[in-house]
Amino acid sequence: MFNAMAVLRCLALLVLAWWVDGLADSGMVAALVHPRFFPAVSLAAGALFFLALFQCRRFTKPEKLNAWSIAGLLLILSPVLVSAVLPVGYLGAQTIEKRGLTVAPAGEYGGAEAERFSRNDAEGVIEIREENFAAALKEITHDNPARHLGKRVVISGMVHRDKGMRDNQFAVTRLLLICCAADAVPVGLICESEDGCPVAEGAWVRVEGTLEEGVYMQRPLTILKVTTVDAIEPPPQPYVYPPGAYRPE
Amino acid sequence: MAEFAVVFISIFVEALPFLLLGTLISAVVAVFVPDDFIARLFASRSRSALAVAVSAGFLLPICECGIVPIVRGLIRKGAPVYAGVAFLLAAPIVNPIVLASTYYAFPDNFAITFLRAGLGMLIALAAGAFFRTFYAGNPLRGGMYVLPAACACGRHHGASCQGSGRPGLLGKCGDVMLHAGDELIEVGKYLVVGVFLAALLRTVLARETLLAVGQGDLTSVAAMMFFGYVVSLCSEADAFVAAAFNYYFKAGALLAFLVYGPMLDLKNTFLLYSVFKGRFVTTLIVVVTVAVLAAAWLVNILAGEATAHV
Repeated sequence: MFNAMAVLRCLALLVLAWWVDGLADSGMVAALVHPRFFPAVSLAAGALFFLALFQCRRFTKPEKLNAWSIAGLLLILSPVLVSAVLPVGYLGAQTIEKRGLTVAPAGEYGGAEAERFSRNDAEGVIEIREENFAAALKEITHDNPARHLGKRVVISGMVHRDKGMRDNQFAVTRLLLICCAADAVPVGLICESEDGCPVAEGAWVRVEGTLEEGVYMQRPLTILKVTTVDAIEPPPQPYVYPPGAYRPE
Repeated sequence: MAEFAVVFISIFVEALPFLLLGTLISAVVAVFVPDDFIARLFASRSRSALAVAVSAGFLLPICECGIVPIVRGLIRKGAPVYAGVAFLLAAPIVNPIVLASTYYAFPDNFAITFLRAGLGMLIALAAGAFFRTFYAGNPLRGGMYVLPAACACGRHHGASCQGSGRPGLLGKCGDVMLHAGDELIEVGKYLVVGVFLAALLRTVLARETLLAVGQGDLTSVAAMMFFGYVVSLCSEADAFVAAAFNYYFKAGALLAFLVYGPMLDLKNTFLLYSVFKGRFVTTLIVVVTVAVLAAAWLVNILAGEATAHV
């Protein structure tokens, strides 16, 4: 007696394990969930493999082949099928538009980074990096705006424009991934330049300028008075993962 | 389209490890805990049962996907239904990881964290009390337990799978793996349907739409409850999303989102319907929805004209 249903269950679990493991292996998992979940994802792949293995104990027990159960297995594998048709990638300009820009993030995104940024009174240009993107923006626009006025900073991100902006304003944004891509929050610094925004929506730029008092959506807000805008290649990790950053290898 | 696919897969990949953990815990309970152990535990302590169930949430860091199979396992082993309900509703909110992340999302407004835990416990208690008073019977689907016909336990399944044909600890561990696999497939397919719909709505809904829906004391609460329900975020992350609405909504609306979302959302509704009988789940949804709506509305009225942002 050969139990085809148990074999199918075993195969479904194996395919799922292989797919999850593949996401973790290829690094595409970084487009989906925060790096702190990577161990959980890898463990899940391992656990699925074991669960599949133990289904073998049923291979010789009698069981009817059931259309509903087979449909259920296909349903559980539907994320695998979807990813075969539409390969996993990073969210971009469309998502920023839809979810709406947050210009003065109030959350806690790594106190140490904010502190380090805040203390950095060096002459010259301070770089807002992936590691402190959210923390620095919070410090500049929300926690201590007055302390940072007049500082020269450089920031990289995706260009975004929305209805609340003046003609000479645009935002340099990144998506903050807190847990998974469903909750990614667009955060950005409002930039102001005499010539308006020189590049297209969704393009990646590196902007240098001076922090000044400005107005956005009829509210006072620290903005970046632009001196230079350079188009850049999108970075390998377009999201930022507060606190800190994720750099594979 | 591409955005939808990414969101769909990301919620699934995020939820999968936690659903696996839930099914493993549930399978351990099924195989190792004696049949009447939990029933006896609760028998003499029905007064404090609700408080125990709600407090248990503080100890078990499990979110709304993992909790469903665990509660089923506990009820199957004789835990009272009302205690199961209270545990189901409280655990995804009061667990330490969720409270810590809420605090991190609202560092300058501790009231949000405090009220989230407080309202969460209160509503879990109220719903538990409701079910203790008005609900009798077995809420589990398919009588007590249905396993695939060919469970290799080697026993005929009555109340639950108690032991295996194979002796010893190793045999029992094998049973755990077998049952966890079954349960993952059984509830996993409902999770996929829920995740699919949640991703669809998450992709379609814009923040502006929500803002247009309601700014009033009651309409803002309803709008944020709807949002929390359909986007089905993990309770560990939802506070950061709520923080993005900080400037636009009053405290009651944010709290409604933070309390209602973990208790009920699109993806776990499908899980609930897969495990519990339809009428039971519908009653649960109505009770929780009314309770959260009323509580959050009250917060909005008491908070006066001040916005949530302090």
